[in-house]
Amino acid sequence: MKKKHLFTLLPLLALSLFITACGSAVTAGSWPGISFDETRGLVYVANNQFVHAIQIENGLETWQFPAEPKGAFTTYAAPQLTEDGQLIIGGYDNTLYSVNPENGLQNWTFPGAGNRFIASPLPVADQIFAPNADHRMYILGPQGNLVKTFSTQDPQWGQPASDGSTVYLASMDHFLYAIDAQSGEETWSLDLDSTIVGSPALGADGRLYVGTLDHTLFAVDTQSHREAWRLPTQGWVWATPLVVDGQLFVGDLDGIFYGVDAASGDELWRVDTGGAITGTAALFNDSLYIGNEAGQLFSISLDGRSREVPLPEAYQGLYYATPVVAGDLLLLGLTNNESIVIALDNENAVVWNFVP
Amino acid sequence: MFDFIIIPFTNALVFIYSLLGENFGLAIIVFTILVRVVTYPFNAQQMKSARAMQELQTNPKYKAMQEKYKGKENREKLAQEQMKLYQEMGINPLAGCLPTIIQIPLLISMYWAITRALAATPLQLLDLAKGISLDNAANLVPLNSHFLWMDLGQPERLFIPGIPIGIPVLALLVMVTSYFQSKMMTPTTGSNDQAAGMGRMMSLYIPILMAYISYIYAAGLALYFVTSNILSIAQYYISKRPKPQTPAALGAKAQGAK
Repeated sequence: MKKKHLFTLLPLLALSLFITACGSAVTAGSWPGISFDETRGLVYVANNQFVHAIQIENGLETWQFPAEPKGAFTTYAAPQLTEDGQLIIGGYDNTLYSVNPENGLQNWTFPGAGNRFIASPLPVADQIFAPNADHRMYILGPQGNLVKTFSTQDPQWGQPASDGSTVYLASMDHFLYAIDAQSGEETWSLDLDSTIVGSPALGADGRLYVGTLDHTLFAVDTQSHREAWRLPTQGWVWATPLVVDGQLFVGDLDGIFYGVDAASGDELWRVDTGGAITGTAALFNDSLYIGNEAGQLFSISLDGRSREVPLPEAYQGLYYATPVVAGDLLLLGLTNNESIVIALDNENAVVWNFVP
Repeated sequence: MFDFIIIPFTNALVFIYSLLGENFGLAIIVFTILVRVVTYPFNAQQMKSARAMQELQTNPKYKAMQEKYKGKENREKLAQEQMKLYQEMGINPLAGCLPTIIQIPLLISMYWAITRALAATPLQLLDLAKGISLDNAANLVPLNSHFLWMDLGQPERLFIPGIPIGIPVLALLVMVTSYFQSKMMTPTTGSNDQAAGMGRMMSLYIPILMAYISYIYAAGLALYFVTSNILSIAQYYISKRPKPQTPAALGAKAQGAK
């Protein structure tokens, strides 16, 4: 190619790269999704092009799926184990994967979805309920065979909740759906008047707790199918609430973390963490642990006394991911750090970190 | 980096979307028209400069100069003489570059505003949540990304029964309109002027590059390109039309003839 042509082409190519690189500091699609397999002592971390299986005792990798980067495959939703020992992974390549958790080898795939699997799938008995951004929840058999689809008006980004007989699905179309786990048919639905992005939490009291982008936290009675109460929040509520002993704990995108009485919906206390909260708090050492977008980790007592947990500078990052309790360790997912997960002990010391 | 432009762009897009019956394609088209109106003075300047450069190609003095300083050994002298002529005729050869430079941050911001507004991934939705200041935004999300046969958040392809591959209609339209737009801005007659040569190369490469960007990125960006190019072509031809003579001007002309 002539030199003058090269001088024209190179700046143009640089421009096209520049277009896609300038808008956001974070270029990934989401944040790490973490789950813990107590039986095998493995932590599964879905992050970008791989799912990593990491040994809980030392943070060393046992396998990764896929073994080599695979086309358009990226994944962020926490992988889920089925009763018969399959690890189910939702991909941004519109495909659901079943993997052997012992060795990371693929069992089967379901490539029939029309968009990304942003939410984690939910195994219930011998079926897999996999919500998708194409407005459908795919209900699959144990070998990945499509049993049924459940359609809504808008994308489904939240993992469903279930009591074993009913599956509760929140959709961005403002509705909360109750679906019979056997037949896959809708039993009832409730319009919450605003977009629901996150997952509902099912309390032992038979209520569903879910937040909406319209600055509201809802409690819905699954027996009467009616709203039990609603609590205004300061910011959009994306995170799934945590229910502990009749109390509800949830954060919003304005960085406010709330303690709420689950029976009445009364706000008991609030803590301003100073950064958007997208994850669900973890109960660890009798305290609630929650991170935020500002890169701060907080330990909050059940009565609302908070303190920031100092972490070494090497592990500073954005804490979008839901922390996961794994035995006597707390696992934290990091964004914008070379480590994608760190394990803290009871003293909040970093026991291990995992760099892919 | 360009959040100070991306955030207002995103808000404007979502606001227009809410006014236009939640049609994101129409919102992009209307928004592009608004952007063209705001940047009209810069675009007019660019067109004026392009036209002056085109007229220069037929100027006898310019042609004689080209002939006189032929050959590689005279290149420097030719450049000096050309600069003098530009000054004499009041042409700024770089005037056409400024609007192009202004287009770059607009282009980047538009790409990100569309991506954020459609929020196809959690981090994009988080970006949208942080930047959006419309009261009813929570009820508009997720935005309806469908327009005609397109999903504006995905690269566009038209699937026709019987044809095994999707046709990138928008990318082709972008290429054609970009080509016409570039041709308008490029001196037409042969010239060994280095700037003109560079211009001719740009008129070849820019349409290909724009088509490639449209082929691989969200269809919303391609829709912005097509709308912007069509408006630019229309603006060029409207401004090129001879202005109707006012009676006063005609009178002055008649007096001058006496």
